[in-house]
Amino acid sequence: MKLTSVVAATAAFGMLAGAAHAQEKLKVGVIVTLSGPPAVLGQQARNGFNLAVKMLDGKLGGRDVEVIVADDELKPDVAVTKAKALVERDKVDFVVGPIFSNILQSIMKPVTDEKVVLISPNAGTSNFAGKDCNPYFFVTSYQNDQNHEVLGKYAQDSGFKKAFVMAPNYQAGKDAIAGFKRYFKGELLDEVYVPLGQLDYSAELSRIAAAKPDAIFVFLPGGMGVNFVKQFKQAGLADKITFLSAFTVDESTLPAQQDAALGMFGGANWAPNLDNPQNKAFVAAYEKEYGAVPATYAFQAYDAALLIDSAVRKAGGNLSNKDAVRAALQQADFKSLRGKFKFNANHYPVQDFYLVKVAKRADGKFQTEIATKVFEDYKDPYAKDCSMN
Amino acid sequence: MFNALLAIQTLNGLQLGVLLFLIAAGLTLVFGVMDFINLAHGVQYMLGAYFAVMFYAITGNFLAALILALAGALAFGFFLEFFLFRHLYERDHLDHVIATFGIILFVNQAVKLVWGAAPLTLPMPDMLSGVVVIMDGMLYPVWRLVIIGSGLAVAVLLYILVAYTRTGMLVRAGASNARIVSALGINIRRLFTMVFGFGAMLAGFAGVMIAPILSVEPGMGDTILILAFVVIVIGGIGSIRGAFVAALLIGLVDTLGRSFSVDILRLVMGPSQARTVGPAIASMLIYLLMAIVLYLRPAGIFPAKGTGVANAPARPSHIVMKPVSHSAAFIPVLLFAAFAVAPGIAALTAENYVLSLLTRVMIFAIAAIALDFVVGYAGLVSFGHAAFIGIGAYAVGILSKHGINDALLALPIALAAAALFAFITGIVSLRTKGVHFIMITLAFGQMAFFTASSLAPYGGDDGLTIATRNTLAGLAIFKNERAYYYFVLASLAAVFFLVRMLIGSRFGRVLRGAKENPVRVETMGFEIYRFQLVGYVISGAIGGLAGFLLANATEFVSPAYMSWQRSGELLIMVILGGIGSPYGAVIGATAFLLTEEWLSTLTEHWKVIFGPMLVLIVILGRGGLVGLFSEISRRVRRG
Repeated sequence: MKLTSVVAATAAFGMLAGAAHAQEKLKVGVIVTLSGPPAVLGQQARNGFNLAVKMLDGKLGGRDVEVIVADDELKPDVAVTKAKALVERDKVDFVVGPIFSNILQSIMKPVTDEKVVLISPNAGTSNFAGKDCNPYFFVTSYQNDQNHEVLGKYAQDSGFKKAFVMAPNYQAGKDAIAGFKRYFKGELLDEVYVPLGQLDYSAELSRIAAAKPDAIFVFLPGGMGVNFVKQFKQAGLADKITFLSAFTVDESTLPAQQDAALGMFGGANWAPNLDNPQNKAFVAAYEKEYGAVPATYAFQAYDAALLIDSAVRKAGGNLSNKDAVRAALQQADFKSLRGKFKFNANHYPVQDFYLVKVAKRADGKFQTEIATKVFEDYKDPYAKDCSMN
Repeated sequence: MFNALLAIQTLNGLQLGVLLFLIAAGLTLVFGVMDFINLAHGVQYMLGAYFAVMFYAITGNFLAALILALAGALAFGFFLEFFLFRHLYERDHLDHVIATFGIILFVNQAVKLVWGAAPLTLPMPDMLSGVVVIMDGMLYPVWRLVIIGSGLAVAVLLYILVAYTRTGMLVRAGASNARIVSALGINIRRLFTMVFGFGAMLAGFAGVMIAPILSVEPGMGDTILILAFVVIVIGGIGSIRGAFVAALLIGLVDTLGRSFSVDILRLVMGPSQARTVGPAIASMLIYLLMAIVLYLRPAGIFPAKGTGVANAPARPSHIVMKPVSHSAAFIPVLLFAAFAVAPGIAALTAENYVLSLLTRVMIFAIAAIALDFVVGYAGLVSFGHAAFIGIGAYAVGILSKHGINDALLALPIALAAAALFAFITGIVSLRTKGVHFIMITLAFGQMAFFTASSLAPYGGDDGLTIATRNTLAGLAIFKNERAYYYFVLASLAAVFFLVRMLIGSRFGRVLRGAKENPVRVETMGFEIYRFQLVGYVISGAIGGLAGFLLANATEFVSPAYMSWQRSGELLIMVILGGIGSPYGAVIGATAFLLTEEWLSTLTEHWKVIFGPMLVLIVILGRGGLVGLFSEISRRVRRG
């Protein structure tokens, strides 16, 4: 038994020796949050990436690929160790991740200092779009402010006079409100910051009811959004106040929010019903494989895989020339699920943004659907502070 | 309008209070009657909610789901009590902590495996899903009133049970003195099982009732558990009445604080500043309340025992201070030798990864030694030690942000800042003892955490990237991973020998003596308080050193460094290694972190393995890994 396998291995080695270099597996590290309540977001991203690899027959850029998944546990110091493990121990060619902004801040140096390309399938903070932009860092999602700006623009264009805004008390929350205010020029009745992870919104709902706004804008990701949406509906406010939000009603939270979220608005660069053939194929394949409707996290990770695929192909499978690989990435020569896609000079996308609305499908599942296009070929304002070339 | 808002917020506060009461009631009874610290009580709350979702999906009827979920929670409570906890009652509190922490890890992960990570929801009964008009157009959901009503009903029922039935009388007697009750011929074991099951069911009930409002997700019991502990400590351990009063107090303070803190602060500061500071202060209020209550009434508002658990003589503990025997002396030598040669071996593999992993291990070993110094030798179980790490780390980050990058300046400042924090909080905390000391240190840790989260100029919750590692006297030697590794190793060795020296000194002997027999030490003329304060400050400063090293290792600082979960992990490391020996702390930190790292490369669901491992270690060994080793070596030598 042992002997046979040795013989087989030797034979295989002999056959492959000539093409050994080209056949060496391409390694991609995926570092996302798979612990705790936000695990569902990390799972979406991981699933999206794996699905792309599967649909490309286990190859990226023509090379067999090995995907190594790491859980950052949403702890910045753990993430640093995990990122170093991917780069140093596993010697990955690309790192895809993370979901959360604070983890992005912590893994940026360990990955890019080693001249390994980091591709974010979600977090896109303003510092890395502007003054701290990095030649080894690419973003397939958005700049964090942009989804919030969609709602601000929409609220302004729709002529809402009085708005009430709420977000968690941390940097992303403050960026969210700043993004909304950049376009909304009406009266802000109140600006409320709640502790991250707050579950009960009874105190805030009473304030909202008392303030009587035309519209409310909230940024309450994950479980926070699930709780708030349900309680908003229960408090009888859903019929009176237009509900605008970012990362609060999406396919990762809708299975729990269900009917309570119907008709609520979000801002996004994509939705499952976005009309192009590659997206239709993706959504169908994702639902078949994982039994859930994909959210933006899944689609952005899928695009990250396509991006790697295109760059490796362009570089002829040779990743030793880092400059050539980065140039190939910059060209973004792949069919994005969102339709047209290109990178700005800061490696953040130039793309369209939509107002999306929660709808119930014929099969009883919930998803967001495109309501209207709010921005066309939208760039983030921080790119002008970026000088990497 | 303001009055209407106040009325509604008061109702909201009551609702949170009632919920907390349902969870705290079981916790306080189990703690009071059996003297058992059950961290896994929050798991019962979570399972109640999950069971309800599951049974609702099957039956489509809320009432049926409620009844079945209660039965499920009860069954699971009995299961845990019968197969596990029953065997741990006689153990030390710290053994309870580690075993029940293992259960939390396991059940949280198992729930994720069974029901998925995505939040689930439980629809509320249609007839109770409406709103009522409270006054001039202010609406209030009926379901929240149902929660308040059912919670109050349970409180009344409990009162009758405890005050007027024979079982209730036994429970009260048990809370006051379980041994006497047992000596009087009462089957205390059966009483324990009943109390435990009942408490588990109440927590499950809370989970079912809140499920229509909150998302049902893995880990939902963890934060509520900490609040429930705050409640029972404020109320007085073992006292149902205390739990009730404290729960409502916490519910009201938290809700009203969140609602009005910003408005009140606006009177004294600008609106944008108030918006940043307000939520941080609101989050701290309950911990502030707890610290004040414990300072004024160290046994809580309604102490259940004449003496109070806190002041009861320590039960004979297996953590007996033994001089390090000669057979064990080789362990530290081996440990340091292993750390010293590791880079040589690492050079053959992924050097930087191995170095950074081991650097992290040594940094936590330093923090664990600091914690072990107060836990093992002074008997002060601190549940807020991560705060010292965080403060040391933030000192590096904040100085670096202002262009001060040299370790010769940053290190002393980090140590001094952590020592100062230890001094100020120590003055207050050391007035309390036992469990109350655990909770008051938690309170200060949480305050430090929320303060860091609100430091907007330094990244707030996102944390702060450090541009470059500190220089040492102008030299950038820390940039070299290997040089930094040996610097951390040297720090670890220095701390190790410093602590060993302290333990052996007169100072250390007084501390140890005070732990074993405070009265005698006082009689001898030592003022224990001052010795403990000095010990606590030294421990804090060492924690600050760990923070300094961690910030430089990760080139990043974050409030997450001082979360209560991190403090808990540190305690686990210390207990895992074996309390009361510096090398035990090193072994504990090494075993904890390397096992975690190893298991997480095997499977994403590694906590399903890690949790039971912790439970097994508690059951098999007394005194952690060091205890386990010496047990094995003794048996081997005896043949």
